[in-house]
Amino acid sequence: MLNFQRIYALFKKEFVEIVRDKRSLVIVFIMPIVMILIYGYAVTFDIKNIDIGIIDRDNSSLSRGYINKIVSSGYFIPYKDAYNNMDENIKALRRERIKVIVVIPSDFSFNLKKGKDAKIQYIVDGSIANTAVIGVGYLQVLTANFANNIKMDFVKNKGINPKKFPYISPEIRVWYNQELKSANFVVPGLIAIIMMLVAALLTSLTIVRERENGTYEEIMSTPVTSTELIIGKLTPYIIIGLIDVLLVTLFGILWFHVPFRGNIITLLFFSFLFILCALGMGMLMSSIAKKQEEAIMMTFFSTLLPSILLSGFAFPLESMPKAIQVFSYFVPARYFLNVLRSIFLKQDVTILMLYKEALFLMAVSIFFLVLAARVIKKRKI
Amino acid sequence: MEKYSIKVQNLTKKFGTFTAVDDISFNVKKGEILGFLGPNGAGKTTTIKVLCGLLVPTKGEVSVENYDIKKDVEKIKTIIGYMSQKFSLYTDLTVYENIKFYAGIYGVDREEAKIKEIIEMLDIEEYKNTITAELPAGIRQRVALATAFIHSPKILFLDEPTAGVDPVLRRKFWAIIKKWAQQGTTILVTTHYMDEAENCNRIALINQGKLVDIGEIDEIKEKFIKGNILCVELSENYVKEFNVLKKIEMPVKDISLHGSIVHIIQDIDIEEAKKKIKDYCKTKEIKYKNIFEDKPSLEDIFINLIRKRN
Ligand SMILES: Nc1ncnc2c1ncn2[C@@H]1O[C@H](COP(=O)(O)OP(=O)(O)OP(=O)(O)O)[C@@H](O)[C@H]1O
Ligand SMILES: [Mg+2]
Repeated sequence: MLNFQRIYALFKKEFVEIVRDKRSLVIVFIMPIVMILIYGYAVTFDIKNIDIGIIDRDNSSLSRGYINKIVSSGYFIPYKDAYNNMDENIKALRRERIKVIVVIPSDFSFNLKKGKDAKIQYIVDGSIANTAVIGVGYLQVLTANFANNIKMDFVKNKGINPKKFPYISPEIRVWYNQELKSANFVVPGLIAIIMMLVAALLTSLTIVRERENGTYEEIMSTPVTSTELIIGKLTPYIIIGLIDVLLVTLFGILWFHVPFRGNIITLLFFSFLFILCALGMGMLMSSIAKKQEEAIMMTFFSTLLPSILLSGFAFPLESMPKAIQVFSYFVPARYFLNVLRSIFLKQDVTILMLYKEALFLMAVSIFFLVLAARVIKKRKI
Repeated sequence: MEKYSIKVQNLTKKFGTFTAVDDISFNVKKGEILGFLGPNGAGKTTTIKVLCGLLVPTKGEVSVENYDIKKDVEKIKTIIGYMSQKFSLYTDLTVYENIKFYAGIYGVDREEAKIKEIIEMLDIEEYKNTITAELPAGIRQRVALATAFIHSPKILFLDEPTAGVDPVLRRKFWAIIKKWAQQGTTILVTTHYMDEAENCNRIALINQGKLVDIGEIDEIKEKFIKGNILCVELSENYVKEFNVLKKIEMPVKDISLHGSIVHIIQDIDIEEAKKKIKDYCKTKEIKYKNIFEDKPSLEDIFINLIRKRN
């Protein structure tokens, strides 16, 4: 039987402690904002002014139109000194003066005029993958757009009503993130990472700090059970975590202009489940660790690193070795990340549609919380 | 009615291969103050932690108010209060909040009235809304005592409650403890201050995990120290002089140094012994300040006891 009076006493005490502890307040309110700003700009914010080299072997009005389209998009700056000079461009790519070389073949306009497929070559610096990938992404969208315009012109010139002509969709389409703004993709991911960090880090200290301060022994000499201890201690962090989710979401919407197409209830529901996972892990670390530093290190390696590396946040999971991919199925952030991206970018996402993610998050949180309760009960002091 | 509040039989507690508490048995009477005395690492804290249900005994039977420690530890926890050896208050909370927290944990009836009462009893009203981190040591100790006693436990475990507290406050502290004992609370207290043990109804001497003896103070003194004690107060070079004095030819039972004062336990006539010591000091050029007779203290017992063991 749970004694709610005891739970309430624990809850209130923990809450007051958090509010009075400057370090906790920094973790709760300052760190998420700082993180989203730093990551938002460093990793996520749309990369503009990518230096590119241009080789125009066609030198026709069509090819110049294509180049004009690229340059006027605002995302690219052509490296003029090496214009049409392949050797110079490759050298520039090597010393990272430019990130991409766009090569327009000599049969470009010929093929297009005939209504045949035309090819464009991109030479990309693979070592700075992120910029290059984003750059190529932009180029593909621009190219598709350009191709579509030509086709429309072609149709018009032949005197055919374009409405009757079947619409030819470009081959590359970017779903849900039409503007190709990487912020749209990364900000929801950041929320998962920040939540994991805040929730797990804060709770990882909660028991071990009491153990260091000697208050833990005193609590264990009272009739408080391990379940009451966990519930009483976690509730304040759940509330704080949900406030943080709202704070970071609002920040993403207002500052980075990320769309929010889903609904807030779904967001809060899944955030609750995910926070519970994070808290369960933090609690377990806290009940195992002997020292606060130990708890922080353990939490860092067992929760934060997998959340960043194996959730699909920083690196696409598909390109990882199979063994690591399997491992990623046990990382809660992977599921929460999917959920968040869906909620932010798709319309009409309901809790039911994401029931698999919900079940998984529930299972993980129960697993860790029960384990933590057992460790607390067994270990005593 | 059951006479004993705590019954301990053949209690052993091992940490790995190290035996911290070695097969001890004793009972604590209802409403008595039992003092646990012993040098560092004797096993006092370990014993108390077992009795509070914080450590699981390796062997032996323990019952607290007729509850078995193995089966009914949760029930035991509702009727005991524990003040640990380490400082253990929530430093970010005020005095009032600390006490209120424990009142909530124990589900104390008429909470506010009870808190007010204990704050008055321990004379800490002026600190009621002070953050605990800012309190002087003596006050902290009293707040810790308040949190351990807020639910009026039947048994109070105090592990070195007065360590680092000045003598005046210590006396105050003991006055309160004694009052609670008179009202029927059983109190088990450990201390390093031998003079404090005089406040206990009985004392238990513990050394190297073993219970050496348990009984009333006078009983124990008589048992361990037969004879009288002569004190010789030495000058600055007391360590050197003590080493010379040790070689005195006299039937000495024990000789030990306490600060600059040498305690000599012996059984021959007091005046005769005094003369012998004075003569010896003269020939060896020991510049003593004073020679006087004293009653044996627990400290003497202790030193005597540990000598015998080694
Ligand atoms: N958790 C533990 N693991 C291993 N050894 C321990 C543990 N706790 C205590 N000990 C050892 O058991 C012995 C008894 O310790 P205990 O704390 O009971 O002594 P004490 O009489 O309270 O001493 P003090 O007067 O210094 O408080 C010591 O040698 C101590 O090092
Ligand atoms: Mg001790």
